[in-house]
Amino acid sequence: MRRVGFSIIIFLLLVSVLVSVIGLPAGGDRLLPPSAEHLFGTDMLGRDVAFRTAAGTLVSAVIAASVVILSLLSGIILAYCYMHPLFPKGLLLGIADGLKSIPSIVLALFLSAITGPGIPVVVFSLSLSHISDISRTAYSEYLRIAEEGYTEAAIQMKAKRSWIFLHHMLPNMKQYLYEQGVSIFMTAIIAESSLSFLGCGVPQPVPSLGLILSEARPVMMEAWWMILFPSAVLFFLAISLQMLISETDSSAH
Amino acid sequence: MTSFLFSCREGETGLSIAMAQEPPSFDVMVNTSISGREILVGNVFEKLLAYDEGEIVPLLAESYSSEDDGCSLRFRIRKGVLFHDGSPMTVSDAVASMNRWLSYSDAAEKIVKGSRFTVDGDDIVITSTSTLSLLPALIATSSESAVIFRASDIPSDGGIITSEIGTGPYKVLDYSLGEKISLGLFDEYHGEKPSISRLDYYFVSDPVTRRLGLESGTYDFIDTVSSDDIPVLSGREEVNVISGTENGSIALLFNKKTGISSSHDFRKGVSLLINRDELMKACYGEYGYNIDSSYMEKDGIWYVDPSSDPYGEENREKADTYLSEYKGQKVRILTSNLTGLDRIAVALFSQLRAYGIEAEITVLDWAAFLERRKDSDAWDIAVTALTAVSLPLDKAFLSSDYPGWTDSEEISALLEEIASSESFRAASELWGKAQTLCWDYIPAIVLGHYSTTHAVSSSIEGVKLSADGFDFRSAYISE
Amino acid sequence: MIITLIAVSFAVFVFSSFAEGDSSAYILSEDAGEDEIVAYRDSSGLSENTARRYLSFLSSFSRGDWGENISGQSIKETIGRRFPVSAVLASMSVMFSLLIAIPLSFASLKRGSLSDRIVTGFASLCASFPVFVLSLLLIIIFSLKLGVFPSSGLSRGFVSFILPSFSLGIVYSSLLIRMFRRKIREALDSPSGFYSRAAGLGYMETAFAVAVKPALPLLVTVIGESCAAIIGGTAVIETVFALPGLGSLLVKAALERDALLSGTIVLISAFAVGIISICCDIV
Repeated sequence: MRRVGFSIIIFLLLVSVLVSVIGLPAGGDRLLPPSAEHLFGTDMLGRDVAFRTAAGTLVSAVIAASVVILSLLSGIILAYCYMHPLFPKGLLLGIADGLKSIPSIVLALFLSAITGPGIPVVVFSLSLSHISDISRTAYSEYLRIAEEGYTEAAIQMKAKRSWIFLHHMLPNMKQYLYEQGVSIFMTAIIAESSLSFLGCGVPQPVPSLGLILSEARPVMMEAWWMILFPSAVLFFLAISLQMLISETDSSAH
Repeated sequence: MTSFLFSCREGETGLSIAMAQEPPSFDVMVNTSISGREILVGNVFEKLLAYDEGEIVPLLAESYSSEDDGCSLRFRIRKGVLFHDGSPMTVSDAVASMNRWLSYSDAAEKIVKGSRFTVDGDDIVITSTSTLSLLPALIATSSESAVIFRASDIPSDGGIITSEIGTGPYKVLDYSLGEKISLGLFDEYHGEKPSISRLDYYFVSDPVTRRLGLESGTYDFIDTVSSDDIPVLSGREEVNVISGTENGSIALLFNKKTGISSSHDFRKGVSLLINRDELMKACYGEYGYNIDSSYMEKDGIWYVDPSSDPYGEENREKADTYLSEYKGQKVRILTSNLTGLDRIAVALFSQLRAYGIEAEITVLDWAAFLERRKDSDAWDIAVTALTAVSLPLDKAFLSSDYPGWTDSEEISALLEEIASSESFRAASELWGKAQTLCWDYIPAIVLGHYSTTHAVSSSIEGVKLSADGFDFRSAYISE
Repeated sequence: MIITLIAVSFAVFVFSSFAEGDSSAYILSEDAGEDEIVAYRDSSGLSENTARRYLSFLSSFSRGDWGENISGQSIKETIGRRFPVSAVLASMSVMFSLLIAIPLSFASLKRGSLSDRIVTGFASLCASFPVFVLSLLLIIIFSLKLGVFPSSGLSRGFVSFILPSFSLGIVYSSLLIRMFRRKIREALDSPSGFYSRAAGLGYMETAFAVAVKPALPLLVTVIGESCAAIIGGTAVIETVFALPGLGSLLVKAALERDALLSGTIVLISAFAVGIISICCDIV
């Protein structure tokens, strides 16, 4: 199963890279249904949907991956900081919780109003709410482990907190982090499409799966091809990611 | 599909209307938004003079006359008009409102040159050093609406008016910010009452939601139908698709202060290079626009036939003579994501690139767009939508402090002459000259004009369309 | 929690003042002259120092005077109208997502079984449609073709909430299904689960017996977190269904650079989230 999942993802990414590099015929009439010349039809500006979907897959994957990396890394680093007694933990937890209550969509709106729209804004605002959750979970996991008996022995041996953190906590969290990563990845792609729907997603003319879907909405009832193909790509991405983690499900610690 | 009709009281009727945009405030004098005019002007607030099917009709003014060779205008204010709170409308309300309007309307200021209205018995009078013959038309048709508010509602500190009290046939029953505004008949209205007693304007920004709402009967009338929905909706019996005169135009503004667009050759070249149809289609689809580089709309007296525009048609060879040295340089396009303008920018971007000119697009939300546009170092071409105006004096991009920084003495001189023309005929001749000059100087390229399409349940008749959008004051429900 | 509230509303104020452009872009015409803009800014207090504006906001807010938005409408009244809408939408969405996720999770516990694959496929399907696409499909089926539910607005009262919360519920349920199944399978793999199986109980009965207890706190946490996400994140659904809730109001305030309105909404929202978190911690 796992290999199937992996291969689907690799296949999708390869196709999108190839297509983006090689390019496909541009320009055509607006809103043409799929044909031999335009495999997925054309959109309302006459652009080939297959080309855009392929390029968009790459962009969405990169954005989603960045969100995952940023969220996981920041969450762990933050949890690490929580360990140190001098760190203003309460203050930061409060702020993090607060920022979580600003929906990422609105956060992206505010940020793009300040710095102008762009991919970094999208990545940052989509990560923020996850950072809070991950750091909390990581920290409570650390606390849980710290209370278990065997770490007391380690402390007796003058082991540093960071050693406990790295060698006990992180491995235990591997499964959780893995799943969170996958979940965040899918959520990020969809969230980016909501951002595009409201006007502060990936900046023009860069395509992304989310942008294509939100552009498709006004013409959705007549131009079904603009929804079907990007959604199909998304579906395969989701399924393959799901397959990637389902195997680790059964491996017990 | 059944029409969804509100029944409030016995024998009364109501309409549910889905609007594409919400009026930013009740102050229709400072904001030209068409939704403000559609919902509030004529319904809740009224002007001294109205414009009805080509004629200027006295409304809150009983009559008006000009004196002193046209340098002075006198308006007799109608008596017996009540505001929605029951208080009478007086000359002091009229003079305060009109003077406030003068301070906000740039075109009016050009005509009156600093003068203001004063009270004279039952009249208000304004006197200037030059003829005011264009002023009545401007009062009747300006998109900064010259409505009469209560003098007490007018703030003295430059703030905006937040009052809902006017003199019109409808009064505001309820306003739920961001959701809807409900109007009901004003029983003490001074004129003929409309037949529909209640209007509920819902603010539904998503065009798909509006369309589905019409089809499922939630709304009786929807604002701004998208081009791609028109074939489907036209085919349905229970729905009529209507569109009126041209409401506005799309323009590519050039930054003439600094940068690549300050070169006259570059502007000429771009004007010859672009495929206007493709650009307009990117935003509007198949219908709803005319390719026309005249600055003023077709149905008005100011229209100049664009076949005399030397750079108005696509001509690759000619474009080459102007643009060849610009290949490889970069053009910065600025636009907003309001109402599909960014699609036009993307199409422009592709066209420039296909030619060999590098381009870069920045899409901002409306507030950021307006702010960024003021920075002459930030952009070269800005894609904007312009509301239709009744006088070419209102074409903001012809003035030197509007972004674009037009700096042509000849054009300014002509505009000044127009402002003090004796008659419309003289003024339109002068404008013809000015338009020709503009087509050569190219402060901006007007790609074309759009007319908004709406859809209404077929049991509703008498919906009027004008440059001020749609109104239901003569509408009725037919069985 | 007070820290959270202050931090969050201050952040919003700071955002609004550093943002490019201000509310004059919406209130005045596109061609407004510089003097008009300056006069407007002076009269609406925009030209004042941000810190001072924020402090006066805090002091009047705590006194109960929430002020007016840029077009002069009472913020208290507007939020008062919209908060119940968001609250109902949020709670019904959570309810639907649980109604979908819990049965599906329990029905597909056996790894590799047909039901497992079907449910996994369903969860992935839900996760790959943005909510504005999914809701469109639902509206076409239930509103246009069957005429059962209204396509938008609040005209039919409670019934108007069903389609929107169902759309949100479906999308969210995919997340929940993953979480629940993992937790329940963990419990099944644990010693007590093993013994129950050994004693002859089937998967489902084991699950009920063993997993429900540890799953309960997870359930509560999840409900708490989803309430938080949904209260704020309903902007898209509210736009699609034209529901007057806090999400779309916040988006509108952000676009219009209305610091007072957006700051107040975020404060209220953070407060609600905080209360819910506290309740969940207690349980």
